[in-house]
Amino acid sequence: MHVSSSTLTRSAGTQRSRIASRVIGILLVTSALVVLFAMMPPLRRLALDYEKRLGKLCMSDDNLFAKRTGAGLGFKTLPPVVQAMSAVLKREKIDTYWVSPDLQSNWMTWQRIVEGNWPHVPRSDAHAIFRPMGKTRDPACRVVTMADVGYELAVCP
Amino acid sequence: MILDVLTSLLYFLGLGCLIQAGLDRLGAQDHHAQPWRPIATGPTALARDLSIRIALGILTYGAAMTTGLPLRAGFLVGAVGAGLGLFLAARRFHRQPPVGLGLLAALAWIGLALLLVALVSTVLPMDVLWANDARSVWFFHGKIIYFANGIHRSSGWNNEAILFSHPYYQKLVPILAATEMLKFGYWNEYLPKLALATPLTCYVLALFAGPRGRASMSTVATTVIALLGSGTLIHVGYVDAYTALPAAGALWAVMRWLSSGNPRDAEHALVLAGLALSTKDEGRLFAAGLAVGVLPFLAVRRLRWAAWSFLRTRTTWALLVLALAPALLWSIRVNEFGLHHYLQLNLATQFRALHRLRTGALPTIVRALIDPSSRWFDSSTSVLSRLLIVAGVVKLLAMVLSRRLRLVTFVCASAGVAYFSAICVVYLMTPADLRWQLSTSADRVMLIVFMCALGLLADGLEDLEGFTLGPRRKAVVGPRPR
Repeated sequence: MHVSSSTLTRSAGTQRSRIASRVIGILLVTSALVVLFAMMPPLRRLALDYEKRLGKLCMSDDNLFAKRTGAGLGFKTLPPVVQAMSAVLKREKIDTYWVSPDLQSNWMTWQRIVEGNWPHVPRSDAHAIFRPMGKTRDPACRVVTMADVGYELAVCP
Repeated sequence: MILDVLTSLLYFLGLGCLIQAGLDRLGAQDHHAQPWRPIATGPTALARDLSIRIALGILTYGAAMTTGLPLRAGFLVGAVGAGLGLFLAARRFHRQPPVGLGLLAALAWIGLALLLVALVSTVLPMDVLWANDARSVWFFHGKIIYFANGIHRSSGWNNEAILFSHPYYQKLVPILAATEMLKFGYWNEYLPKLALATPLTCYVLALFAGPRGRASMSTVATTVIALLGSGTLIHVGYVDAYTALPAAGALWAVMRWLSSGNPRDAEHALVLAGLALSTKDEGRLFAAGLAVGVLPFLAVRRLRWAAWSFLRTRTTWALLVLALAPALLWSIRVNEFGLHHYLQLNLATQFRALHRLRTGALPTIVRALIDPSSRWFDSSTSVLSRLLIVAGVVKLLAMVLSRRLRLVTFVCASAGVAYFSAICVVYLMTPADLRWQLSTSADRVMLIVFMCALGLLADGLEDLEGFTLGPRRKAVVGPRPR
């Protein structure tokens, strides 16, 4: 098959033009991305945050994942009163409870109590009520004190 | 833990393969074609097909669990289905094994996407669930589902004590979290977030399918920007990033569909929009915005034809039902449980909106959304205006250099504007204190607008990367005539 020299020259020219286009394209994209990252500090900060977190994971002597595997882990971040309530509810095998108004007045504490203690369900008609220590007057109630957090659980008939 | 993430991924991929096999049979009746669709082997097409299958798996599982199926039984039935789906996919692959460099390139492309997912997923379980909505809304609902072994009336959804957690919110992510912990066999405050790894894989693969269906440097860069732009929201347990990322994926898919008319891209957009609207209420607004954004393009005859032929198939309607199923079924259950959304479209909210309009609240809302003074989370929505400037400049430069106007880019702008307008209306109607509501949520809800702006940038970058020293071309929209 005969291929003319002009065809070969044209084909080489097209190839060169394609490579040049590709290089120019990549350079343009790179410069646009450099400008973008320079203009958007949060992107840089977030990239560094990831690097820091992953670095911490790699440099850690012990297995960070192993520390996160196990029932009930992470409850230490809850307020002490919620942790104490949770322990008492489990120990006393109580399914439903209610709390005194002072514990409900702070919305964040109230939320932590409800979601932290679940599946123990808060119900206003429950027989078990958390109150500040010494507030239970009814002698028929059984009182479980939580001295370290200043509350008690009154289980009334 | 890595094994657990992988099994979750295979679980939903397998389920998706099974559903896809069913849809392909349905499609074969429409087209009298082969009873199954081969899995694509091009890099971006493979990313798209895997993303569709994972999305189908998640949507089907979410819909089934929303009906009130017991969690353990549902999970086991799903496992059988997933196994069958994986077997069918493997058999198909065995019959027509794709070979050559194309397959290698595709696997390398998927590998790169999975590497990005692995980097983000590794960070997921590092922190305890400390963020308010994460522990008091999304993963608290997961905890309720986990301990009640499903979504039942007796689970306590209408207990007044949990009203703070908005029990009427969508349940897709809580269902995934409950399922994740079901596999561990206990509940703790670190691992539920691992449930986000599977949807994240689906979304990163969707972004890797690219706005042009081209495996390019721009596609990787925009995916990285989408992940970084989501900021800490991606790993603190909030679901806003997991609503914005499928929204971005759906936008990319729509851009591809508007260019090529390939029904597979429209299917991709449909399932991703379904995931966005099943994850959070903002996803519904985005899906509506996207539909509004696409409407003007139907003025083009070729696109109208592509849309008509897409809507005529039974596969499309089955997909539509699947995409809407989790959200629709949950709406039914919300009525059944007697739950009420805090934002109701009644006379009172309309009067409130009108009152706020009269008292000049709209400029405050727009200002707070575009450039909020307070940010609760470190995300890139605070520099949205800068992203828009860069995207505009890049697009302009691309237009000048390529001497070509791509109208499909404007679907990002129209969807973004439609969503933004809807969000403004929601803020006008909110019964909560407006300033408090804006200060606590503006940065999160704007993440979807950030993704729309990123769509503009992604398209511009693709233009720049595909720059050719060639002749002038005409403005193009819609599939090219064959």
